[in-house]
Amino acid sequence: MDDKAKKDFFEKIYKEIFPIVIKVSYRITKNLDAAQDVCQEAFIKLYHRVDTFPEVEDAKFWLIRVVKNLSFNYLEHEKVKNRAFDKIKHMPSFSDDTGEKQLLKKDAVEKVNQALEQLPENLKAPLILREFGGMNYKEIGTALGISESNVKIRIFRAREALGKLLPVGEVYVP
Amino acid sequence: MCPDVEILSSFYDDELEDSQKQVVKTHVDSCPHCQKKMAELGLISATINAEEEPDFQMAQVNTWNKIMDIIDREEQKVPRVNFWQRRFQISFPAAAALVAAFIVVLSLSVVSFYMGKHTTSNPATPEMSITDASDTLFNDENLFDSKAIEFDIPAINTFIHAGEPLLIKEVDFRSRNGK
Repeated sequence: MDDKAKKDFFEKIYKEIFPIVIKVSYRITKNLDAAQDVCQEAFIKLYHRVDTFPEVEDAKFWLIRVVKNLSFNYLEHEKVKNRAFDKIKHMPSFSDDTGEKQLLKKDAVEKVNQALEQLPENLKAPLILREFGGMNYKEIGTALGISESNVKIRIFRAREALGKLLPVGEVYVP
Repeated sequence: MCPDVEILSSFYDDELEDSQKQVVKTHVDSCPHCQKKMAELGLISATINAEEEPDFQMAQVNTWNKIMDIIDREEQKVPRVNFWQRRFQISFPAAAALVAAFIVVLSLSVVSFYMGKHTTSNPATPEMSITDASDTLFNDENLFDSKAIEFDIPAINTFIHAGEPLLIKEVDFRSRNGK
């Protein structure tokens, strides 16, 4: 593969996969700058070995695994850093809603965030890939290196845990 | 009998095989309990997705630019070459001078090596060592013979030897007396 072909293939992978991995990383790190840094690091790693991936799909699974690991590493690092402080959560602002509706929506999202944060990594990763990566069980299994039935069980357990942590009846859904 | 929630979760994700999917669908359509469970699954999913997302398109453009910058810089960087692998240029006069200097140093060292070898191998050169001296000192029968060591005792009273080596003092004394 010459330089031009390598760069073209890399760009193709980037255009197809970046929208997925940035979402996944953002949902894990809860920080857009960190998610961008994670994706940047993962894609530079990919560039150095792009010849080893015959298809975009192969690169996709490798990238998702790398991004997931880097994002959880970031999260772990941040947890250690912020252990001494009360973590301040930066929630996105809702400029289009007002009053009670805004409060209910904010409360629901906050509860989801808290519930998601409490999930262990092995449950959180498959759920995030399912909900935000739009991947099916087989793809998640390939990306995480686990069996399809294992993905099914982990997603179910993640939802079950969220259902317990999240008072479903009380949460406002827009 | 209601299916397990795990199956409902797979059904919700549309991950059941066609035959199983049909059975579960027929049951859920007629079971209020399973309908409630399905609604809860939907609620969890909807709540997760309710959070507003930042501008990922802008992030895509920015990150691409940063990646390209880094890759370009990496590719422009001259690879590091070890000292012994480096190529260097030297002018002809300088090279000639270096070669001449090398030949001179080499020939000098060869000559000095052979000369040094000749000198050290000369059997006429007396070899002395501390051991030899001590052997002579303590084993020589003539050590206390008056003929072996002679001292001229000073003939004047003004001679003071304290603090000065005996032999030097003796020489001084001799010269002063014109002996």
